[in-house]
Amino acid sequence: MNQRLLLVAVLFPILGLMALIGRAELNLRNGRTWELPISGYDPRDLLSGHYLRYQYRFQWLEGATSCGNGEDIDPDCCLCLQPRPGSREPLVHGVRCEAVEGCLSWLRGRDVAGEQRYFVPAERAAELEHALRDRPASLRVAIGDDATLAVDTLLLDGAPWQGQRIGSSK
Amino acid sequence: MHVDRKLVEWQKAGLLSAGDAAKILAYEGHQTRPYLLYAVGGLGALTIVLGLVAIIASNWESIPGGVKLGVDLVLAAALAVGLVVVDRRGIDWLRETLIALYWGYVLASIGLISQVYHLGGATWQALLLWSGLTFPLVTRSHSNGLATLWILALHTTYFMALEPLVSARHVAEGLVVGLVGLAPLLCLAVATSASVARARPGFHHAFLGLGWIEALAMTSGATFAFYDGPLRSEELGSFATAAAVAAALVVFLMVRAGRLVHGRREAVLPMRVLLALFLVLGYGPILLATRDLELIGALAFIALWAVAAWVGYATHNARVLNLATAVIGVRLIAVYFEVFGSLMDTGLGLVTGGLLTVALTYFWARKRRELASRFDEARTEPTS
Repeated sequence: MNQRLLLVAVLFPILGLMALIGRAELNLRNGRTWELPISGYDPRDLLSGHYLRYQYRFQWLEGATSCGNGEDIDPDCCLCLQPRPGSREPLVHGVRCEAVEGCLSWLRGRDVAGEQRYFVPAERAAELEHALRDRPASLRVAIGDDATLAVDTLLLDGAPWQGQRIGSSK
Repeated sequence: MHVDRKLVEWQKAGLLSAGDAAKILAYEGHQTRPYLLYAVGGLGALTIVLGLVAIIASNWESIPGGVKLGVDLVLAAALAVGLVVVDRRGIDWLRETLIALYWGYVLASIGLISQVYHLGGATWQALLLWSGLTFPLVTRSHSNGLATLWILALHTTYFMALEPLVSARHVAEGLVVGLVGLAPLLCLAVATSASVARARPGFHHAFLGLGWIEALAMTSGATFAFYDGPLRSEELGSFATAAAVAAALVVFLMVRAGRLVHGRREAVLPMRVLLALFLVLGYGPILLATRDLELIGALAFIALWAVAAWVGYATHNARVLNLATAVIGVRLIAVYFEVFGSLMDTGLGLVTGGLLTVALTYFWARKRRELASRFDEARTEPTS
């Protein structure tokens, strides 16, 4: 009996970790891909530990309802994303969360409001901090039908940062 | 080592025969747990976990995320297999060390997954997931140390989960302040479970010990609300809701007070009084929204610790008794500084406080010998 319980006890965390990985992978693969523009959350201090602190900077559809930007995004508002011709960045307008049927993708305001974090390697953290301050940055994300947002990678000038020589500007 | 030396001394003094000494040595040798092994093993496990966390935090760029996760799962599986093998071979200290290591490793793995997939959840969510995934694992342990660490981790999760409720204004601040006080009462409630005490004595002691420490610390802190209530009047209604839950828990604990004093009948009454004080002094001053009642606050604090001393006396726990007396002494000294004002106030405060401290010391010195013999008698009494 004790041996069986121990077996369950040691397997349970592994199964849980696998489920966590599987869910994250599914969200990334099954969602619709977008590029969402971002900027540093606090220009004086973009780096905290080993992650960059950023906020979303949505391109709001002219004349439509807006949910705000960065810290001012209304957490109770929902964002409706529509494709923008010639760009992977969406045009966004605010909608009631009960009325998101017509949207290609949608997001809950509370999921994108305020400070967000992007993990970076310790040895390149400083140069990425400078790049986020100086260059146009966006995130490639996958958004599921249920508004689940999965972050894929950071883009600098539209290209993944991993393949770039960024260099630190002091 | 200490027993060996004492046995030699007693034999030389003619108090003990060589045969009796050999029997005692055999018994003590059988009873002794390899504490050094446990301590060194635990330290090693902690070091490995910290090392893994540091490696993960460095987010080593040259290893692709998929490989990192694959290696992570393989290492977790290796730990799981190792644990099962060690358990079958009956190597207790290594089994406990591996459980502690695996427990910490799961948290590091959750951190790694969050890093690879940029999961943006709150820290408390990761801690809650960790607590859930490792619950069956931790319940397999018999270690007092791991139980203590685990309960501390649960507390951290609980308190961290309360913080965003306030900042996001989902619930009233008063309710959150009241919910903080439930943590020690819940610990004590778990400690009253006979099945936990029977199956996992280490966990029982950890829940009991941490529950008491927290309850006394929080209630002591709450007596300072007599000086100035921390909540606005509109928050008191929600605080009262939490106080009602606390009252229900205290009633539950009062009914089962005998289990908190290990069946000592004479200790049940002081224990019930102490539990009542946790509620009255822990929630009362905040609910009453009092202000500038320094003397009442100081007296309430001293009363709380006096009852704690009574519990220590009734349960023959010299450590609790000593601690409670020392805390009362320190609080009296603090009162001196509080009454500093005009020369007359200062003079009267110092004289009164000094007299109380001398009286306390006198009482303590007189009673010490009596208490020591009382505790010794109790130790030699057969348990019924």
